[in-house]
Amino acid sequence: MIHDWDSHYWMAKLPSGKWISAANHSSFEPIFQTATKIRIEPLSSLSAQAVLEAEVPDGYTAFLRTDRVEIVMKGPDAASGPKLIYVMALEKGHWDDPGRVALSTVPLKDGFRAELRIFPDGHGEVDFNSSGNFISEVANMGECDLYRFIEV
Amino acid sequence: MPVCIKRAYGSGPSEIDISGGAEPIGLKLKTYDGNTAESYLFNATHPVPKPSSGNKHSYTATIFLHSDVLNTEIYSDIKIYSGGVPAVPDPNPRGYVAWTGAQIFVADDTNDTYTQATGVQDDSGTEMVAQGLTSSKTDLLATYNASNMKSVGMAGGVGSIGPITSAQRISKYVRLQGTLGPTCSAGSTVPATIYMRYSVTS
Repeated sequence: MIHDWDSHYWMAKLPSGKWISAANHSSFEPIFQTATKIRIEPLSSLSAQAVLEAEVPDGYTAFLRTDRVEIVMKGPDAASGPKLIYVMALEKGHWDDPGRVALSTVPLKDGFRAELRIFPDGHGEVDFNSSGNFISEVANMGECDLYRFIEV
Repeated sequence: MPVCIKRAYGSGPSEIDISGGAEPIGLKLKTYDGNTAESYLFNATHPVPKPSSGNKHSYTATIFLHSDVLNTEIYSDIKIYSGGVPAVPDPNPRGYVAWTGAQIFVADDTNDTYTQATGVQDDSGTEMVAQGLTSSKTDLLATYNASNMKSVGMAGGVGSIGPITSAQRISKYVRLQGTLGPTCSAGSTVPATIYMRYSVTS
């Protein structure tokens, strides 16, 4: 599902080569778990121009989350934190229903966690953590930066 | 109204959407300075007086995350944190005072049972541990930040909730309380920032 508050959306490449996306699927649907490649893409030219991409190796489970940040109490520094965080994660192993899993309960043992953090002014920052066997590469594709997370 | 932060208050309880920080949560500590004309919705019409010794407290605020987004989202990993102890701005046209001698505590325990806060108006709310709302508490502004968030827990103690078919509370109840010590300054403390973060699978 693409929300009116989204700046980015996910896509997933199926074994057949067909791509599905958040426009007509949810990442908690079983079909998402067959994906061989996942991407997070900007919704428009007004979105932070960053793409996140990873192949899904055999034996790994992919997790996508959109973390939202709500303000309980607002001080002058409220705009300095991200308001939206697109999370892409891979972890070796099988989860029956990974869309329902709290990602905080999945230890980072063999995989990675990547976050595209969107700030109130619209700019984005990418953060990457790996168990060591995945690396992050960034390539400038004109107006867009492509962050690829690769098993090594 | 999508996912929002609500405050529960009163005996019912009543509920009010406080998302965005526009509605006062009742923890904007205003130590007693003789001005009773403040018009904040909670507490500040009855500002917490500066104690001559010991501590005085705001009434405990009870907040939670609520969703009425139906059939499309799964929620997990709800957390609360702050932007830290705010410094006095420079310039300081509103005359804010520092957080010296003032703290916001978060209850270490979260649960699914609402309990109305108690206290003595114009004096002190009942301290949250003493009222039995939690077994212990932590200084929220000094402890929890974007690198060290406090897990709140899902309503009912499950790992995730959704897709939901009717509007509902999705987090456990979180309790916050302002506390003043004898070293606090008269005036309104610099507004602090408190956030809630949650994960959506969609």
